[in-house]
Amino acid sequence: MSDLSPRQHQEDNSPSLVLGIEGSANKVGVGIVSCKGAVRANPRRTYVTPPGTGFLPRETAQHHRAVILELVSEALAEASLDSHACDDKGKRRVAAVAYTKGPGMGGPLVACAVVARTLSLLWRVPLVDVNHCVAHIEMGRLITKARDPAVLYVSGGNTQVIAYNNGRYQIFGETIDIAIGNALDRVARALHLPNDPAPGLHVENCARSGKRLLDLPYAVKGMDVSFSGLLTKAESLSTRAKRTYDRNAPLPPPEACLASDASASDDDEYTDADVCLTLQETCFAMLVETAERAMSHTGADSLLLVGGVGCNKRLQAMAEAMCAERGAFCHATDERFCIDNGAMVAWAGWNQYNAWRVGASDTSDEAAMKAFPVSNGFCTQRFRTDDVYAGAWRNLEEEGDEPTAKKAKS
Amino acid sequence: MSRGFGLQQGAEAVLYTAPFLFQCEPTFQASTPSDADAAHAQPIIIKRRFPRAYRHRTLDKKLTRGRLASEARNLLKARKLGVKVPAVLRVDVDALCIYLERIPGDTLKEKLARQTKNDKEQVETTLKALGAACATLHQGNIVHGDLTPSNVMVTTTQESAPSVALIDFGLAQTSTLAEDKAVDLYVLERAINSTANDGDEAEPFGHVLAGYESRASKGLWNAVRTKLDEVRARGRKRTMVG
Ligand SMILES: Nc1ncnc2c1ncn2[C@@H]1O[C@H](COP(=O)(O)OP(=O)(O)O)[C@@H](O)[C@H]1O
Ligand SMILES: [Mg+2]
Repeated sequence: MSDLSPRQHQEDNSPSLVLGIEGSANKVGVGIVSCKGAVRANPRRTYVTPPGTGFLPRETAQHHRAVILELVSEALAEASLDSHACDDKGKRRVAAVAYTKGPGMGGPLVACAVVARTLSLLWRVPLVDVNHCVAHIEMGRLITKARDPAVLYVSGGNTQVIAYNNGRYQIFGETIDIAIGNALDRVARALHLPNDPAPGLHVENCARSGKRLLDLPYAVKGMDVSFSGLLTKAESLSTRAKRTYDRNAPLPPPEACLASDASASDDDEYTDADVCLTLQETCFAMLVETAERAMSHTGADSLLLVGGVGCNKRLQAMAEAMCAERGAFCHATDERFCIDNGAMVAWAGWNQYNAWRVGASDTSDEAAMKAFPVSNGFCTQRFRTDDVYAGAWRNLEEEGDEPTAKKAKS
Repeated sequence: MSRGFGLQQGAEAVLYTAPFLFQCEPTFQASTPSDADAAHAQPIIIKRRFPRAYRHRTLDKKLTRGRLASEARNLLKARKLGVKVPAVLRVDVDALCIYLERIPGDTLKEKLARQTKNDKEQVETTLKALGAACATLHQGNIVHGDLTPSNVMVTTTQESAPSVALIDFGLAQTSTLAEDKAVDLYVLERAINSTANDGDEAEPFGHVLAGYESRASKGLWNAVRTKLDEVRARGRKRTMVG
């Protein structure tokens, strides 16, 4: 993370920044990233709902619409650019605008795509459509410098075990029903834990006071995992759990909840902390087990954790322990980059745009606008990680030493 | 590999080989059995599950014990059904060890990795035999739970066609659901197709299905085939939104 200095020297005069907009779920963010992967700006807002409730597409889209212009201005200012995306010498620095095409919630996606299309027209720069999951992976690789890791992508909407193969991020295993983050959020709701800043964080903190492991089904099906049965059971356990969570109380040390051997049957008295502990231990064990299988299948020597749940410290500790046992390395990032953000979309967008520039015979502005036209700026709720040909830019890396070493001809 | 013991480390178990006649415990004595003894010795496998540090102790115990029990139980059931599996010689619940007959040969994973153009026919027969073995298992309402090429042993002899044995039944379960059986095949499909080298046939899994169809009852085949399409589409259809 160290070399992500906010200011880094431009080495040539061609515009070399990309602005990216993300808003596929309840976070909305605008990021500005350089062609070297330096993050110039990455502001973000989260749509937070009252405890016991979740976010709905319509309200979330409204939230995003209300704050997105502010975020764009903030990002530009932070990167020392004016509203024309020019620097103080009046030179246009932004080479392209990137936005999340999907997957995600329709309304929120569209709210962001509209702004991206507008900026693209306004600044006359290409509009690059980005796959949300691929953006997470590329950002994770950028930050951690993991070259070819197996990826555990865990968030509110997605749960996938991924490995790069033949130009694609191939999905080795995934949830067959709901996503891990969604399962955690719904139990948080059932226990009336706060949603601010994120329900998952309170599940994590609450679990630290857990004493006993309850009984939840462990559902690994082949390479895939299933959380729905476990969630139903956890929700019903939640109704009888004694409420003890105090968000302001000091947290016990992380090992405390793991020390005890005690388990409890459903009839015994138990607390919200026991439910959270059991939920995390069970779900994360399932995830780490499938990740390990993917690693042994592909021979990967590292694992990269991405997505919002990837910043859960307990999950990180478990993944690290698993990797350590097999002599592999575990890469994780913190909440700035794990959680949905604009910079990741900008970075994935830059990679796609640069791959085109390297391959194209004509890289004039007109040709670029034709290759990435505004008319292509639609959204789709279903967009598989393996639909994207990541070889376009990963092949460039293999030739050079550094992820972006290959320069465009222009 | 030395004759006294060999060692294989999997994700949650260590495997030793030992000559059956002498020593059933996984000791590390340097003494090698005499040739006369070795001639009578039937090598066996001792699979010892170990705790996984990343899991909560209570959960780890529950899973490890559960898997040892289901491995023993389902190996016996599979054997009764006529599927070729290692015989269970002994189960030591306290030491979390299961003692198994050793199947000669290589895993399918190794076989596939080493295959050349000349092996094409043999690989085809092997995959068909594997499909048939799965059908027998499913016909008896057992699902394997971890059908990957490293859990399939292939024995080749000069005289006869390669024979296929299934191993690693720790995740096996009794199930009558076509869904669970389809998931079994789906795991195998993804694993097999992803080990295929460039220039190989695109879909080696087709042979597995052919073998499966040839052995399965009409009812089982129809149900599983339909479900398999559903399971394959599942990922693609899921809206990835919480
Ligand atoms: N009965 C057996 N005969 C021969 N080889 C075996 C036998 N059981 C296991 N093996 C070898 O050991 C490896 C790991 O055993 P397995 O039961 O699959 O354990 P794990 O759960 O660690 O995968 C297998 O891939 C195979 O190479
Ligand atoms: Mg195995």
